[in-house]
Amino acid sequence: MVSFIVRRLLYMLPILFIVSFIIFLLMWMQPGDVVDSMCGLACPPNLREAMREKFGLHESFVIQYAKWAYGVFFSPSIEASFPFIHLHEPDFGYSPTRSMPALKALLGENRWLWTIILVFSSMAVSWLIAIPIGVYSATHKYSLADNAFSFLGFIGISMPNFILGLIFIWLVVGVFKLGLQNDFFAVGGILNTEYVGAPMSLDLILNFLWHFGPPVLILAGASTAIVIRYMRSNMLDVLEMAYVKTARAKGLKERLVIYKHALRNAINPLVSMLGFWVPMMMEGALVIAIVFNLPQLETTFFQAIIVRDNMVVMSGLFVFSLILMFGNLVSDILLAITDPKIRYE
Amino acid sequence: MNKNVSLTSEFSHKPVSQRYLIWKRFTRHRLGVIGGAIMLFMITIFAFAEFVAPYEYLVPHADTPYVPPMITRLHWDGISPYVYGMKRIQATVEYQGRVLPLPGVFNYEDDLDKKFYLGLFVPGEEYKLMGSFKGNIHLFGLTGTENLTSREKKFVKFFPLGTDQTGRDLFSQILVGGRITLGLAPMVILVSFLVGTFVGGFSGYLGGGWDTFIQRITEIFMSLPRLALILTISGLLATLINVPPMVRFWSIVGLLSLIGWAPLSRVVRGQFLALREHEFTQAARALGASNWRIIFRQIMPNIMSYLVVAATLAIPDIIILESILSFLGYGIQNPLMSWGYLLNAFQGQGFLTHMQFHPWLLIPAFFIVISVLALNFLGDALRDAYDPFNVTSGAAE
Repeated sequence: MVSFIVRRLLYMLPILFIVSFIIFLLMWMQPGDVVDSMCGLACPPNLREAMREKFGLHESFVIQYAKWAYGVFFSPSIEASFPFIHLHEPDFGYSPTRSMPALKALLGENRWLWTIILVFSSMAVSWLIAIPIGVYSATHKYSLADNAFSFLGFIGISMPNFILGLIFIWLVVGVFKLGLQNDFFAVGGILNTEYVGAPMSLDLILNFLWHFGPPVLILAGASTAIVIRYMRSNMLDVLEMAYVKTARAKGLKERLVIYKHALRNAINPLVSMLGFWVPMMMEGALVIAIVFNLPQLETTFFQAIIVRDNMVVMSGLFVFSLILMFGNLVSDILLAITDPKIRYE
Repeated sequence: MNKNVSLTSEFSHKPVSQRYLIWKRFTRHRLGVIGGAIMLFMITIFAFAEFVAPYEYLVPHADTPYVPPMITRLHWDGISPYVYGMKRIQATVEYQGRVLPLPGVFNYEDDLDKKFYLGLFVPGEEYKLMGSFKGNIHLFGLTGTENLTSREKKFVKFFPLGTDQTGRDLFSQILVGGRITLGLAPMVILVSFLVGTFVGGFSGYLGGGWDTFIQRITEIFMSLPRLALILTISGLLATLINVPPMVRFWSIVGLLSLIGWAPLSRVVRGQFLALREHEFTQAARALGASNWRIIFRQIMPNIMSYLVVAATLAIPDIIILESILSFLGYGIQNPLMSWGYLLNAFQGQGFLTHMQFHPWLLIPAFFIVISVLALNFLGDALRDAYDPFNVTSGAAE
């Protein structure tokens, strides 16, 4: 098992190298550069040259890529001088528009933390809702509730996240006009401005929930529908198995049969999909974060695309592909753990 | 004699074709049939969008910005519908005890003196149907407007779903946008299927070193984040101005196919790997058939129905991706129109204003949801119909 994980990790390295090359190539091929957007149209040529030189844009492709790849792959290190451990962050270049290292511009101000909180809390919500419904649908196959849930599931899958977000904001702002009645119900961001930096209080927590709850629920929406589908079909498969029949035949209570025998086995394939789930949720989070203007790395990534801050865009792409690859790795490992039929030599 | 009769009656049953069985299974799926009907209806309407639309979708009616949907103001005289002319009223705001006009903001009321019936096949603004046939007959429009002065005519309009900032008719924009949104997705699927089938098929059929090599490439493509990647690339493309509309359209098709082909080729490869060792393939090989012949005459027909179902199930995803891209302002752009691009009004500064005062601009979202829902139902029914063992795999990817 350990050797499998190590091998998979080592195997990720060349792929990461190629991915980094593709990312850099994409940025290299774009017409114009960040100097255009920083300096404007009426930019004197000598100033333009000076700025290009300052950001290292005058050099050839190979040298620029080598510098960037060196910073990404070889500069991170851990320096341990007892009792201190010092971690050198990888160097993703310098963001000219934000005047700080690109990785800090992307992840700084706890943006990475908000992304993680959003993705994982909505994942937890969707699983908590979906698994009981899936079990219920499977045990009450073709009942009224089952049909209703599967119809709702279809709607859930067909509702793009950003449309749900827009509809929610329309209801709040346009229909109920909550913001006009009480400043507490503002939309967008993670807190009302008066609460930023204020000491912890009940109002602050409620305000945080008001701002952060809807994005979590909306992001959970579509994936809930998918989890219900998987759960239902897995459960139906498992309920047909011989050991479930045996359990029933020996007179076990139906509840025990379902929760002790069937559910545990039906949930296994879902657990192994956890790894695929994270990148999928990241994709949804990208749109949701932009619609709700949440302080996440996705919003900085999108801002960087708008102002064409290549270094931040590149580090964003790199971070996203890293998450994707780790997700795949995790799901492979989970699959190997939960499914004894799969063996990795 | 008796025996003969029973024999003939036994053989009088027509042999049932595979296609008939599939059709039979498909029609049993009620929601799927409804979805298919909705899609057919939409496609027919959008094909003749300029004719069905009451106005040319790009023509601004500068005197009537942000007209609310007029469907609600339709009156009925027996079975013939009519609307009143519009009265434009300057919106005002009370500020420190004084009443001030809000520049550029208008309210609209019915002008009860003027009454206009809605008619079919009414001449109106000129258009070019499908870019080639000129015409000015619209499916419906207001009649009896011939004797009005040009000033009066400006306020005698029927905007079923309202207008936007420059007074362009939202309904016409939705019709034309639907053609792009629903036309782009099958193009993407077609391109990514051609590439995916080709790559995956060869990978699975040839096996060995080639297979490993092609799989590594596919893996690299699959470890790139989809949405972030297409956003980045179209962000690069957005800096090119004066791109001809068709070039932009096809570049977005290419972009979406770039991320679509890899997962597909995986699936096709799996099918090829399974069918390569089948008896009928081995028989063909033993008879001396060439690789091409085996691929195109033996294996492809066997996975064709599977591919059709997979394609139908993949289309909604592409529609959503295109809508997201256009919504963020990096997809379809003027002069082309798509539902996502119509929602682009909600990006940036006008967001809360539109939400409060012009909520009808959200109507395109409804069309996105309906068409995705219909396609999901259709795909689900097709999968059940094609799959004789009714082995349904979890969810639409």
